[in-house]
Amino acid sequence: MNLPEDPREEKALKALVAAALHPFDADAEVSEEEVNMFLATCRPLTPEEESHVQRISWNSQKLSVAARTTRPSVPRISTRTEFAAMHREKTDAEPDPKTEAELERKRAEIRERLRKRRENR
Amino acid sequence: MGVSLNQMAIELTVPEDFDLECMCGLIETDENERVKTMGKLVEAYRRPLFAFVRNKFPSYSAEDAEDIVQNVFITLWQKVAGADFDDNGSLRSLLFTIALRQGVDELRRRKALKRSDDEMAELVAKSLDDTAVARAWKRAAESKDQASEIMSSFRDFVSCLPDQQKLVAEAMYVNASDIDDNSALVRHIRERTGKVVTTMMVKGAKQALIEKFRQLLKNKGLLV
Repeated sequence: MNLPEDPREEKALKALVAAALHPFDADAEVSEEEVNMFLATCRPLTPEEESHVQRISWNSQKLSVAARTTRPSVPRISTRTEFAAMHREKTDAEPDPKTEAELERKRAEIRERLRKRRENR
Repeated sequence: MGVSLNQMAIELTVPEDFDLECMCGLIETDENERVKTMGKLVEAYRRPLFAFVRNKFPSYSAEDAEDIVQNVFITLWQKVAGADFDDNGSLRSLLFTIALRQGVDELRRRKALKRSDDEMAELVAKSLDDTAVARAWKRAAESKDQASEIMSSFRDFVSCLPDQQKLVAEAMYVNASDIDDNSALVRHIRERTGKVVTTMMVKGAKQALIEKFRQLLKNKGLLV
């Protein structure tokens, strides 16, 4: 059988091509096992990709992410919210004192649980 | 003790308790400590996350992947600030899950996510019919790893294609139920980019994608 000339075989392959791009289980969590399996088999990055990786940074002073706002392709988290998260600037998005106190209480609880987890490891 | 998860391709060589230490650092009261921790986290995870986004969403450009990964760290920062994360869970899992969600959100924004998992599976099942490819795929699916490996290798192939060919792959995905209608694929590309491509180009790119998939099945000994 000559596969390239069989339209049914072609149709089957086209469907698999389309399926390969579908993000199955997109609402599920990516487990640590899946991450490790991915890392064990993923391809190396090209020099061009590597240059993009080098641009990913965390600069608390300048928030280098601001540069990204020039590219509209990916929805942005607003700079305002970023600043609020970093406690660098008072904004409308900043929580009121009551909410902030509640958040700090939750963070303190997490700190305590993590401290215990660290001690028990 | 250092743990190298992969010394062949993308390395994530971090101390054994790196993730837990980072979680502790991120929730510190001292902002300098939080920022320092975030810097370490970005340095360790930016490459693996970038590779992950490239693989899961091969039709995105490298710039898109860069943006998504940058947003992953911002989202994590916000989650920590809002005490909105499971401190008993895995930081690694959380980072990759955020990356997956952001990639899918972008697909939705592009109106490129048209089918549920079930709808896509049904469409594939119908198209496979009683073919040699179907039998090959069934054998691959019997070992879940083999099927995932083929899909992943194929996505890697797509992610390295020139932009126009990548768009054809995206068009085939979006128009999966009407995949033989080349004019629909041409229309998709025009609507997405404003660029006019020829039917001939679409046809050629489609054939290259099909051929690659066939080759992957052959390489695994699943197809003669």
